[in-house]
Amino acid sequence: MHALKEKISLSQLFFLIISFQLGTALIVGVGKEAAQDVWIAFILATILGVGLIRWYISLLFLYPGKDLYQLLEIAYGRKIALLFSFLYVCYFLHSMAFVLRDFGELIVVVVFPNTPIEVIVLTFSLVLAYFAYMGIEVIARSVEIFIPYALFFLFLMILFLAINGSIQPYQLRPVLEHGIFPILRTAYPSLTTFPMGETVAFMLILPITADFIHTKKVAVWAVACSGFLLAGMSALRIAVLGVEQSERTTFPFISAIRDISIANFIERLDALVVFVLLLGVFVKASIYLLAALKGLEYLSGIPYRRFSIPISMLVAMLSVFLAANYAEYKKEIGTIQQILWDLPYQQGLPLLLTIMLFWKHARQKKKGEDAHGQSG
Amino acid sequence: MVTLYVLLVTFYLLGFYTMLDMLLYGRTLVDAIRLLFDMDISTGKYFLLFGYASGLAVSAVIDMRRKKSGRKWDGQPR
Repeated sequence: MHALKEKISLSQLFFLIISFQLGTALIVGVGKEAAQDVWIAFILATILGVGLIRWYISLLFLYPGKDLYQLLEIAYGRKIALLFSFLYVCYFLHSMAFVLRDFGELIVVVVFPNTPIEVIVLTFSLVLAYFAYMGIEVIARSVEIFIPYALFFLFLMILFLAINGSIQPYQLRPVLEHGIFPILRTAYPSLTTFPMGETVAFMLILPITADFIHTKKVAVWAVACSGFLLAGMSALRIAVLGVEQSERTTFPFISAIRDISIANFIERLDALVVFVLLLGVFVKASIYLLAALKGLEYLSGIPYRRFSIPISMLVAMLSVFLAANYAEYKKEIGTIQQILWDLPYQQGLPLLLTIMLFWKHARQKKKGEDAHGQSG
Repeated sequence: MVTLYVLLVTFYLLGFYTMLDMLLYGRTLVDAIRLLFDMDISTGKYFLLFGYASGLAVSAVIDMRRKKSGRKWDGQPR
């Protein structure tokens, strides 16, 4: 197996996490159950998300330099670790398929209405295969270049919406109309699993950060920043569209941006939204693909780059096969995705892993102390 | 080996989707598989199957080249 030589800087990690979190969550409009209080749900979910990333990193700190798959091996031994690693590979690929499907649906609706979704996901998968082949350093550098543009475009969109007079803060009232429980239910598990808990994929990326000791601080700030950005953008969405229209539309953020019409000249800024989405999808899908490929490398002992083309082609196929139509897709992305995929892999297995690792770590420490006592 | 792992992941995930189809929508196994590979020309699923087959072909070529060269994956002789 090839030695891990790739390294990314802390700033690259910060931008990777922000783009990863914003990803599709910004565009598809999550947390509709909380109605106009979705921004409060996002703030609560951000706090939980920060807790999750701190938890994942504290596991990595127990055995510095080891990634998720190697931690599984330390905790359970090689055979059980192989089984869990295979399940994680499937989870990452399935999540990537969901991201691709979201991207495909949006592109078909907004940009290429006459092009089959299959062609879009297939061509985008080829790009992802190339990036996965080039490795995490290339992905991180690309994000470093593109994220200032994406943030500038977001700022521009907010500015245009404000100039246009589309932002009507009264639509955010009444606050807590249906009480606190819908907000709590939206914050957990809905928003905590998507997009906050998805940072579990970074358990494969964090160990290769150049300054590993400072990753906790950087990752926490990145999750907090992206969480508050998502809270702000969801409040903006409601303030522009109102609750009813926001719930009805498939891509509420696109609908909100379409509202912009300044002097009958600055209109149809969909392209800016698509740019932001493209960056988010690119990062999210690449990280998932890379996490899965590293899992396959761990399972087979074959360098992960060999898998990049066949696996990305497989994911393109899965993204269309996972649901027969958009209605089924929405149904599956709701509760089924949470119960069968997100909760077990983001919280269930890491919880078991934590118990085992802390137990093993404490036992090792005790053995070390005993040996030290005997020699003294 | 690459081909084997790709096939393994494919069967697991497609099997999972088929099972989900049966449990969620009450479809029979045959119906679920038929729907999965619904070969209506307008759907464009041909592109995907062609892409997947190409990916599988690439993995088979990688495997055969490695076998022919008689070297391990890290470049060391067997």
